[in-house]
Amino acid sequence: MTFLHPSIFLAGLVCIAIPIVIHLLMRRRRRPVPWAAMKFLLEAYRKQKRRLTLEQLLLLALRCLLIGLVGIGLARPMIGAAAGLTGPGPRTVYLVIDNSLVSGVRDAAGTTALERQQARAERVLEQLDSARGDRAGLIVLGGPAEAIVAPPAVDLAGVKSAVRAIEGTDGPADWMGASAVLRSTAAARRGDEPAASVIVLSELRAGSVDLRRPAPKLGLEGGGAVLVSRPAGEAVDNVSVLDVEPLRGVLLKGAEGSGGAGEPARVTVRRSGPGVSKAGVSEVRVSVEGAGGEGGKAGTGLVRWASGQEEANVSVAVPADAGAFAGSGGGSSGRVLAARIDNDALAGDNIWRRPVRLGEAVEVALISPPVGIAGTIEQFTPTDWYRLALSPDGDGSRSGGEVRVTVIESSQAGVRSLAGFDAVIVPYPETLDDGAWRAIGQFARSGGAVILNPTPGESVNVWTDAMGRALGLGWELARESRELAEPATIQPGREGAEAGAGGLLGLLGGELEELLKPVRVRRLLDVDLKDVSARVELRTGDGKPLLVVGEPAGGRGVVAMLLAAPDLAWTDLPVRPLMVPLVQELVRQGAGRAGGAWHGPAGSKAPVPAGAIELRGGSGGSGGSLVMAAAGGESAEAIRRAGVWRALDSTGAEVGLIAVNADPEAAHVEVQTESELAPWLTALAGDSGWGWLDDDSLEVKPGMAAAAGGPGLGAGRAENGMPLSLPVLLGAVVVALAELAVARWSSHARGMRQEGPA
Amino acid sequence: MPEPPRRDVSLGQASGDGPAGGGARGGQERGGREDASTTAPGPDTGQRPVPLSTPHADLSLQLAPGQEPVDASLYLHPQTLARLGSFELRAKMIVEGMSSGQHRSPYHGFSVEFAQHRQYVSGDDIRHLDWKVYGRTDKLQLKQYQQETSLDLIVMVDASGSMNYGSRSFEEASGAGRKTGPDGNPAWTKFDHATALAAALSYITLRQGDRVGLVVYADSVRQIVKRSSSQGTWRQIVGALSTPPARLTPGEAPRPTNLARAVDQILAGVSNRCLIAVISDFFQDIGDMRAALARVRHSRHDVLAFQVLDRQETEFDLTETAPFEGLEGEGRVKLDPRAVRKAYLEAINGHIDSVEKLFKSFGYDYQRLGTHDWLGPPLAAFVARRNAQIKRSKYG
Repeated sequence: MTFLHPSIFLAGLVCIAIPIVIHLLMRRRRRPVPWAAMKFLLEAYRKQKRRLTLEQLLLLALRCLLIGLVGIGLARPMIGAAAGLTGPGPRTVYLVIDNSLVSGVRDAAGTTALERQQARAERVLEQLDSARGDRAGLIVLGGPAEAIVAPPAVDLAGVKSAVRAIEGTDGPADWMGASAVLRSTAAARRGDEPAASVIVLSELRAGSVDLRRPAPKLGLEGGGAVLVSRPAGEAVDNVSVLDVEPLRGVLLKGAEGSGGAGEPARVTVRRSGPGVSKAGVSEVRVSVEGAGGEGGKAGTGLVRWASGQEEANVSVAVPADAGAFAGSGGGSSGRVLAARIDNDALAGDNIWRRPVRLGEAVEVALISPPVGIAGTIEQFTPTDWYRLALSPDGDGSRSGGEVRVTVIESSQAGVRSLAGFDAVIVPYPETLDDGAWRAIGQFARSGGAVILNPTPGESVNVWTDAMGRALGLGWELARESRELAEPATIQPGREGAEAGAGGLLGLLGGELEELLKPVRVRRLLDVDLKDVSARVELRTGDGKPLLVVGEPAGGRGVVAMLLAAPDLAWTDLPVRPLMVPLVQELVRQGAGRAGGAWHGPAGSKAPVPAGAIELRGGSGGSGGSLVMAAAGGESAEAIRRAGVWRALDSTGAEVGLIAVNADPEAAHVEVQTESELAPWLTALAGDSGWGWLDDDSLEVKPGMAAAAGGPGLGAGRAENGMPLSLPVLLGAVVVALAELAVARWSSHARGMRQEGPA
Repeated sequence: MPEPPRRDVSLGQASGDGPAGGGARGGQERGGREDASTTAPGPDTGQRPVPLSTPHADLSLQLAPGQEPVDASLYLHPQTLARLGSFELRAKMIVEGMSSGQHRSPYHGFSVEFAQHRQYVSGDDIRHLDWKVYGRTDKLQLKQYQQETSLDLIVMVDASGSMNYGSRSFEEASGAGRKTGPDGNPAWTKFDHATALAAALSYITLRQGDRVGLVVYADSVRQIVKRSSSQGTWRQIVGALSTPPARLTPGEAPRPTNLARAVDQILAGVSNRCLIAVISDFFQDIGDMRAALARVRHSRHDVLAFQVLDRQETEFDLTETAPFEGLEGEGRVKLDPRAVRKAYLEAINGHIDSVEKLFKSFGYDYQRLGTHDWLGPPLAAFVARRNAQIKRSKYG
């Protein structure tokens, strides 16, 4: 047991002597009373002596106990709490320092919150004494929480050095992880070791403590107190970049429609702080960068904030200049699209990166059996239609070389022949053997886009089994196509606002319905979409899927299947205006999306391309450090800092870039009041008491008074923080009543009044 | 109680003008006779007789040089004297006086009061033949008469340490306008009350012509005033009680009561049957007292027991915790009087009852007196009651 106010406890102990001192003083002042009938007085006294002595001792004990209990009660005792801080024995202190993203908030002097907490931690450590046996542990909260010094060490100088070496992270505060570390440490604690106390050093902004989520218990088994630094009181303005998303996953040099300025990218920004109530302007710059941070010109956009507006989107044209393409090679290669804003109070969330494919053209392989040269439209094969849709000019490339088509014979299809392509179109799947299917499967899982359609004609589709094995889509395709009784119209796969959103055809937007109107479908291959993740992009008028998009099992690619062959016997789609944008979007969006969104928030494991076994730090990252990638498609460890990482396969070749961005949820800089935090901290401390850390003193202070009237669990317990205070004071009241009763009984005044004069 | 107006009271006359009745029975001629067997340093040394007819303002005793003159009215209030003026102190039992008097003698003689007839034997004085009986019965019968004698009163005053306690102010109790006693004590102690009582008894006795003596005792006899019927005896007695060594003085070592020893010392010097008035608080062992009284009884002395107690002793209504210190060297004990009051009262009341029963078991009269009460009324009631008893026993 320990006390929130040890000084009051000590004062109470001293005050126990008051009754004794009064007794001695009163004893000294009495003048002897001469008495003649002493014989009888002594006789009476001898009879009553034992009882009188007992009464006096009982009274003295009760009075001392009363004062002692009042002193203890006012000193706010806590069972098992803060013993490590106020007890006479060696102390064990865990410093839990918040180095999450929001700890990078700078004050007016330019000092970050983390630097301030580091200084406080050093002052706390200076109060410990190695010679006494004090020990200190160090845990950082930046997600995931990390035990820097655990179990606690007596080398306080070393701990201080470790404190100085703490760097900020770009992830959220991982209270759960810190709790787990403390629990494991507490479990490993020997019985004779003192209970550890925890000192939490954080500004407790909204980015560090999410009050909407329940607090984990720190699990200080065996006692120990929790001291928490008081929350920040200074509100700051901050703008965070939440996302940057190009319209297509592959950025092409000199894309049409961009006016020569490059592909547009949509940037999402959010602002917080007191400045939200005012109108303002933020400048956003978007550029293409390499893994090392090298990049070209930045396109700029302005966000005009309305009063009260917290989140906004802005479209910024990404300059496709030579600098951006430098080193990108001939085909599409790894680059990141980076959106930046000017530095503000929190620097970590001022940049957001997304890996993109960048190239001069999208490389498409058209796997087809040899086909003759068609003389008329009726003689056009699906291969012809695809080629025509991808290269309307008929020379294999459009202006600017956006899509480059290569025809590969079905018998030649293999892993090597498909290497370097962004997308594969299979108009005659029945012509592929198992080897070709395996190659296509591997291509898809490695981040390629595969576009399929049923083989024209009325043959039985036996290729579906091989396709299912290769791609693992989980769909069940009908063996035979069926001719529709009436040519069916086509409609978007989803209705209303969801139509096209997030799909491969999203860019077609409102034009899609107009393009769909003239299209009719006469024959269709039915599919049973057992895979719930499949997305129906188009369906017939009676609701049958026409264009289905899914992902291969165990990979990041995209498989799009057009369930009506682009053949005039099946549908008039090839001759409708929809054909060109449909195939173009399927190829370009599919290729971009199949490449994978290799980005994730800091503080968690990052997604990595299949085959990658190693991540190497790039720009903005912890350069040079290695993180082993797991086989499950994610990094072996959580990445704490934002940056760009290069994923390498077993041969050392780069298989993609991974962008780790600041966690936008951890970028909330809003301050939170002590009363708001009290319930959460109470839940965090659990059975242990907690208090505010004032003046960097190890003396435990009670929770704020304003919390006392708060609702629910936390407020009351947080204010009390000492489960024994109320019982002790109640005990003091009981003792006081007992003292009154005993004093009245032993004084015999009542008896005298009743007896009267003799 | 308002103090009654003072009157000039005559305590009698000098030799030849003694109290009424005393001199008439021939006591006056032996008034100056002293019992040679009692010797003790007394305050009467060097005293000059003072006329008893002087008013109370002239009651100052003539003391030895260096002694503070003591005003008898300090102890014997004129009101008390007035109350006792009409009473006689009679011996309840048979006493042996040195002269004829008004008290029953153990001897039959030929005096005034007829006692019985006795058959004539040869050698009897025929002057005492009852001729009337002879005439009626032809038998020779002698008339015998009850011989009456004078009374010897020995006043024993307890001067032990416990008698030096009093909770009443001297000024209020004395009524003489003086704030302290002769020893400077502002309290009217039990010894002061005993002094007043002794003075009153002596006054009554002397006024009826009997002899009176004083014995002051504590653990032993400390002072004696020889029995005498002279009028100066009263002043000697009061003077002896008012001055050391009879009175305890501050700083003097306290002495416990030893009645048995004092009695032994007295009985050794007294040959005739006397009336012994014992004035004490009787704070001593009952067994010792019983033994002493048995010896007194064996010597066929009559005893008057006056137990003087202070009201505080019998009520014990103190409320403050304080150290209590015994006056006879019992030591000191700190206690809350309220805590032991019940047990204390049980103890002291039991003792008082035992004392009363003890005296009455020997056929002696017992009277309890409180220092907070005026001496006159209870003493007068006691004497009257006693005399009534004597009359009843005498005349059936």
